[in-house]
Amino acid sequence: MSKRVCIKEVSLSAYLDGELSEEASGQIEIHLASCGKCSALYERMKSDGDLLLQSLSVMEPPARMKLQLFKRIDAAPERRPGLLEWMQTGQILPLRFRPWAYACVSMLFLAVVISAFHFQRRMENGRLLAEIDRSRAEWVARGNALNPFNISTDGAPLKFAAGNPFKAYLNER
Amino acid sequence: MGTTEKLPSSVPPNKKKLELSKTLDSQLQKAKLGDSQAFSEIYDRYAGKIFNFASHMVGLREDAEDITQDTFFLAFRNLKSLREHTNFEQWLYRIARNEIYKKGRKSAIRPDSLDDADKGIQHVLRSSNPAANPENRLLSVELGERIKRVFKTLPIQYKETLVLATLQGLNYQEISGIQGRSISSVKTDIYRARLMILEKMRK
Repeated sequence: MSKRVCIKEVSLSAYLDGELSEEASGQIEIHLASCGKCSALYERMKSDGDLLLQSLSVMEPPARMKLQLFKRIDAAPERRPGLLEWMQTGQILPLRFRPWAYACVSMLFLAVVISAFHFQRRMENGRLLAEIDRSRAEWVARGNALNPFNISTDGAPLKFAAGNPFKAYLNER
Repeated sequence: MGTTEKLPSSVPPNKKKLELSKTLDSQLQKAKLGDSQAFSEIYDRYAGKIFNFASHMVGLREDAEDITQDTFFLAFRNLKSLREHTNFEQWLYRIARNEIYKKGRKSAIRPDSLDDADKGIQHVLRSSNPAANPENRLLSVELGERIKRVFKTLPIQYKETLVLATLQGLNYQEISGIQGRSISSVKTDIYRARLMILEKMRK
């Protein structure tokens, strides 16, 4: 003998709201006809729902509310559309956003100029270092004792201005 | 004022719906261009629904009036941002919902005033069968009051979902659109709210 499976309560609630498919509703109806427990629960849910509908009074909004609303609408200053709305209309950038746009473009331009300057400097330094390497290799090949890379004239360590590629070169070695 | 009354009753429901959506579409187009007459017609159609939704959520009539007014004011101001006219009702409910929660944050949502409770009793007395014996009528009044008290104790999320489903007559899909949640969670909330009412009414 097959065991009868009761309907899930959540499905019963959805059935009450008419949210189930025709097929599912049909199955529930068949089950409700034969199961006292489920049909009692369904009836209680239904009667509570009806009672709630009946006791929560439906009210009409007062007429003065409409008058107040339209007075408020008339008195309110015209709303300025947001950037997104302006973009949707396909119009040119609105006046109030222009200073921000100019500031953004200026910042971008400044960033490009600074980056280009640094890039150019790095390229220059690279070129100088390559030159030094080449000169040093030549001195070494000649076996010259007065190699400018190993001595200083007054015995003190050589001093270079900050950012001098020559200094970086010596530090590396 | 709404077009609902003008349509003959013999028109099939689907056609009626289509006609209504066409009317709403043209009203919205006009209202977007600042036509307050068109917006007034939209107001007439939806004010009752929003007012009742707000009043069942917040309890106090004055608060419900404020919320309804704010909802329509914001709707008029932001009408241009509404792209899908078919979603207007959901959009309106979303604004109302935001206003309700805003109000709830400012002042904890209060219970109904005594005045409203009294009106509730009168409403139940009017709606119950006058031919029924006075004892039964009084019993139904008592039950009505009891279920109202139980309803007020529900968590706000359950209350909102139940109001939208049973009192406002929206389907689960529309509610999920308003609340920004899945249909299954809406379904579960309604079921839990019902179960809570059942349990509390049994006590």
